[in-house]
Amino acid sequence: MSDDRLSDLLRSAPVPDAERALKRTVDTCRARVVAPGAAPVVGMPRRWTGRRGVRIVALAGAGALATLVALAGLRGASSETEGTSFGSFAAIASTQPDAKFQHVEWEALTRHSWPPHYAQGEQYPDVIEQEDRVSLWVGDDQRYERGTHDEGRGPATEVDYLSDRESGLTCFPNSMRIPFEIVYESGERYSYDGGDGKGASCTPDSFLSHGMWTEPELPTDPAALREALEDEIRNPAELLRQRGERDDRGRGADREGAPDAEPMGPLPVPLSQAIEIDRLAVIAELGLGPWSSRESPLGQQLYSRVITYLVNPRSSPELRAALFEVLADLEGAVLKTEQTDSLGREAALVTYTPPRTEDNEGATIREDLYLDPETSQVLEIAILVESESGAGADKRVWGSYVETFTAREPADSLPPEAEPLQNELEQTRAEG
Amino acid sequence: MTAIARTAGPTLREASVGSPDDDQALVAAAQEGSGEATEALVRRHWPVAHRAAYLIVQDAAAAEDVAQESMLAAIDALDRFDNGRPLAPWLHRIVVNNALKWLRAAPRRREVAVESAPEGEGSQPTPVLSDHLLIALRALDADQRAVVVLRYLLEFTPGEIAGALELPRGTVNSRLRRALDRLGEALDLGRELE
Repeated sequence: MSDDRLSDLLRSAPVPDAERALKRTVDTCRARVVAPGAAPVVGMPRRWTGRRGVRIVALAGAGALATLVALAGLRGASSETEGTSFGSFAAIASTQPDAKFQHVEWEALTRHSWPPHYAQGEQYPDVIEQEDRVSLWVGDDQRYERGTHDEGRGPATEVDYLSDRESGLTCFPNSMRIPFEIVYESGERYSYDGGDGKGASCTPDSFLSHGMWTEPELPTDPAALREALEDEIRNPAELLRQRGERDDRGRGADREGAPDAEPMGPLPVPLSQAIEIDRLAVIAELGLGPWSSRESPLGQQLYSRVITYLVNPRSSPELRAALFEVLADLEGAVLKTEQTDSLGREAALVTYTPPRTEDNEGATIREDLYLDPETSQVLEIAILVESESGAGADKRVWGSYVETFTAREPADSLPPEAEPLQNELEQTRAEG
Repeated sequence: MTAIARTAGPTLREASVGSPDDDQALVAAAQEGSGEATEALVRRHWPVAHRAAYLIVQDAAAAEDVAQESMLAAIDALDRFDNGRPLAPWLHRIVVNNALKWLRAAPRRREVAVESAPEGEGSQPTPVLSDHLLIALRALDADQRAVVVLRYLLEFTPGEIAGALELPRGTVNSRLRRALDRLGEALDLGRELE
């Protein structure tokens, strides 16, 4: 059979009439184009964006798009609870002591293994491993963080900074300056010695603008909290605007950080009317539909946000209690007692194992959250993405992320290592 | 019972896909917020988009959903579409990938029933070769159907198919070869039955 003949057959093969679907599509598309974002954009308070989110982005930064999609593309599973209730954790959480600083020690190992069909260049390894070790002190007015980021290639990157809320300054030690040299084609050279011999310095802060500073401004009534979290999910552009960023769909802020047009924005018509117009249009508008593949389903996004705020040292005891209530009502979250985490610590385990989606390239995802049964604090977060084919050693692990908290305690002051930065901060403030 | 539209190939293509110049003008107007231009674009590209979706997913309701969602996705992204490029291949790529996504999710959607071969209204029509083609297509793997539709309905080159489906070109060629072999066998049998 010739190619032309096959083309003719495909063009003339009988297909069902779809006139109604066409009309529906025309109406919806016209509405999208004519009145995008017609309703005013409702402002949201700046909120902590979450270290966990940063780590998942780091996975993607390692080139793990498939893993990122898989992590983001989960759906809710059936509800089941075993043993100790989530409510008991809510009760424990609400009694946690407050302090001037919260000191947290944590380490995270990110491992990504490319699926076999991904051809990697010689400069890219098939397996990428990153290890982070961080000590963190967070208070009302100051945030001090020091640690290392190691990708296994070359020396580990050191992290050491002190941010001050009132002055808007962040101070770095000399070791944070990286020497470099640029040789232009003309032969001209430009080099920087890393500031050898200079002490710490303070600059107007970029960390403060990333929302990692402030305490979550969220309600502590569980129902209201869930609603607020869902608002965050449904208006991701608002969060981007607050950070002066833009995503790959053009949502967010312009280069100067000013709010711009909102292509996904609030519905141009009331929700009830929109549902009558077209259910799929509403689902797509909310970013919850099976076809909005880059948008995680609501349940998974809620789960992710709950975890983010649970590990946030700035979350109040009341908020953490409400977060456990939200977790209890979340489809797919299962609580098991008398477990142990990777360090052998006694723990309660919350598992979240959503079903496969069309976007995860045949991978299954399991998220484990280990909690201290005495304090309700998060001990460990583990995310595992593995292929569905094969068994035993052949069951290939595509990606894993394990974040372990080894200390979380109140502190009255910053550690001695922060003293040089504090001195520099005081001097800079005194100089105006 | 599903109504079946029998449409002649060349007429369909002429009616549904206008010249790139026409598309360019309509896209420019739609990007400016013209509802009329948006409607014209959707109506112009719908027949081929829906046909491609149906030939791949082989399910009437799903084909409607796939075509509709693909159109919505395209319209949503239209303000970022480079209007110096042809619209149809970009749109068709969205359609085919959405169709494949639907099929990959289908085993997990209990409500999806396997649809019998499409029938016309009223009395059973005499099968023609294109009916046998539909049956033969159904017997192919979804990935094979996708490359056949991309190559012979949407007229992508193997290199373009490789780009659209993010596959090595060799994989595209082997899928096409195997699909054509199976289609040829089925259509030979169909001819004998006619």
